[in-house]
Amino acid sequence: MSAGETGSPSRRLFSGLAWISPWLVGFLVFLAFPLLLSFRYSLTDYSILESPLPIGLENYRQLLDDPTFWKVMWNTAVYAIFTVGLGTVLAILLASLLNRDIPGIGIFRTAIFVPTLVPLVAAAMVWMWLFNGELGLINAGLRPLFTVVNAALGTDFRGPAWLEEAAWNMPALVIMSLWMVGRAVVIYLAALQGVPQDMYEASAIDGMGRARRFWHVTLPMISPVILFNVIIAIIDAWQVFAVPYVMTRGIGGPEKAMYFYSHYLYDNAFLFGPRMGYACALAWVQLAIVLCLTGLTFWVSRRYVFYRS
Amino acid sequence: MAGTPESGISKLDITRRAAVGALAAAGLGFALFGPRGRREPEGRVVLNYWEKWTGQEGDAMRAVVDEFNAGQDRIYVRYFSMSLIEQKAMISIAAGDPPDLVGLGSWDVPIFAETDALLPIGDRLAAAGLGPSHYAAPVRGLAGYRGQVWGVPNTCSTIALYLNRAILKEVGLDPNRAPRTIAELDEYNERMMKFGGGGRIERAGFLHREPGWWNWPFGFYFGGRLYDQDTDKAYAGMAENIRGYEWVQSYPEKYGPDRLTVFQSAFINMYNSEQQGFISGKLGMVMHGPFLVNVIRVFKPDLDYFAAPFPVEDSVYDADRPIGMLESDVLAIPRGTPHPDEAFEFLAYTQRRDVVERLAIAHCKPSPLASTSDTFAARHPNRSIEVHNRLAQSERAFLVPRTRIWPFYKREFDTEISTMWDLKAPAATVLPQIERRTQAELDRVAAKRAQREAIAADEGGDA
Repeated sequence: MSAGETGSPSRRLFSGLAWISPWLVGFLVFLAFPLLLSFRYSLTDYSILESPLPIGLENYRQLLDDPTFWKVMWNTAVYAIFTVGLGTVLAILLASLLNRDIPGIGIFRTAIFVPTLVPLVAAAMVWMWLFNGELGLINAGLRPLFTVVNAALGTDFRGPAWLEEAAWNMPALVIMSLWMVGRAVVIYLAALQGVPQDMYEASAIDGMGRARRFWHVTLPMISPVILFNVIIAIIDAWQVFAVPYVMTRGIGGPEKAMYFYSHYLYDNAFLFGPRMGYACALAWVQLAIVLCLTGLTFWVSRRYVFYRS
Repeated sequence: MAGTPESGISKLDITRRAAVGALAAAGLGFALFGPRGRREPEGRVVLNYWEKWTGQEGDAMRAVVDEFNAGQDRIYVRYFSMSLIEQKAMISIAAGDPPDLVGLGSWDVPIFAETDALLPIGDRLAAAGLGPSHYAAPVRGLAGYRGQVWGVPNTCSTIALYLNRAILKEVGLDPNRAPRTIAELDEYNERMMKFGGGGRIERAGFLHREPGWWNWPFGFYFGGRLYDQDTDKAYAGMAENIRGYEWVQSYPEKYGPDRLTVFQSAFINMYNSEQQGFISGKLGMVMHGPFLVNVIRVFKPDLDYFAAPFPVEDSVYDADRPIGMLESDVLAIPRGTPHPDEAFEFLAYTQRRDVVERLAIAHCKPSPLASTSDTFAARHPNRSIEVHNRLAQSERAFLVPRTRIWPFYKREFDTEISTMWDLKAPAATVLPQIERRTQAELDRVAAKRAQREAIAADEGGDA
């Protein structure tokens, strides 16, 4: 028994608090206090360099009339829908493929995971080259396809200018986000390896094929992990910032097609005025949205997530 | 983990000792052999100087700092090169822990000045013989705001039209004559356009969106303006500006926005590269600053170029009074610095003509001063530096609008330029919308300013 376990309850409490104090102080000073302060600032007109001017709920009211706010809401919601949906499906499929005992599987697993280790700014720079309309590898890969199609149909299709044409901005960003599903894949892979083999054997004896086994055994068994990954993906998607910021040189793309919520928040906090009070209101709305979506996901999950007891 | 009873030492203890020992050894090694900062001579006042320049530009300023440090024994300037300097300066000043000197852009001055985040230094400058007459007339306004001087323009730059002589010759144009009017520029562009199979553009004369940094000044070349500081009014929608952007739209109308976009995507975002449009010969002319030559010297030193004032509409052409954008870097002393006198001493040092010219030459920029030395142009790497100097001295040089909401206003142009370029809406529709949104923001800021002033007056009255 250690000394901590033998002392009086108050001594043990003090000892426990002392041990967690670095985290506790960090939480209070660097998270809880700024969080409360940001709420206070959201009720003010505050430019960082001037003292906050109390304005009640004016910032929140202005959000409703702000077309850029609705534009970034829309962009972020569309991005979230596609990245969460496609990312989840792709990650589960990749994890299933990687959950096999074949030679060189370690190389494939590493290849899927490595992109998540690349700094976002570096990844964005690389993808800017890949998406280059004239010189990019993606369009170079599509070119033979368009050549065949154009020859057959007499059309003039060509690879898009991914980052210069507003309509192609979102697909480009979603494609890039799918390149970084490695973190979720690793978690799914661990979950897949935890599915008891006897359940597969029992279902095989019952005559289930591979597809039905995947649908009726694998997915239910890993559903808590899917829930976890979906919630993390929703939060990540609503906070997307670095990649579109770098790709659009901080402007938000043509016609604001790559202008996202966090970027708009940042612009208000440090550029437009600056309007730190307005940015704080945006941050609180963002928190409310993420909390609502997380709550909604939990509520929906009650029907679809199975916990082994 | 249990240890053997004989030894009396658990494996955990051994692991702990090893970990602590390794950490201590690492710490000691770091302390003894780790990286060293520059040694600061004892007994000197140490100044922290934050600057935005990196690379070659940063090295040039660091050389000035080193020379200042070596030339006297009372002050030591520590030079910090950093990104996002406006934001860091803003936060440090608000927190009461600012640097002693900060290098801002001239467009940052209004927000810092309006909030008293900088020390006004007009009187000090005049006493040091660095009054308004020390600087080129248009440059004076760059560090000033609402009647006060908040810093010094330590480098400046103007925007001109750069031309590729080889392409001019190839298309049968005089290789020593630049277009002077917009109509001439269009003619030059037309002659330089080169198409490949399927109507694909292989070379263009001029593209408004290259390099894409200045999407807002096209109305100025038609006699327009964007803002009036006295009335606090935005003028994006004025007729001259609309004519300017209708001219911008005439290019995608003629050549097709898709074709131009695909063509430009080959060299977009490639400023510092041999694939850059002008350097690679894909563009015969480009609107650019003098610092373009630093890139030319690295990637294509044999490129035969020259620069001229950007062409203007016929009705506003005047050879003696060229129109061009002028901006500068501004060295300022933040409010709350503990060493304002020493900071000013360094600031004044940087304004000596020899120092200013050395920095201008290294940065490949014109001089912000009223006059240059006889050898300035000869020593300058930009063979067209006289053009930039002339623009910096021109009474029709135009500045970035002097308002704290300029980043908001500029963003409007940066995003709406694609709406106009893609021909999704005419300039006559887009520009008044920009004006309306910007004016609403100006009015909001003015209302808050008035509210703050009223509160301050009340508090003053109560006191």
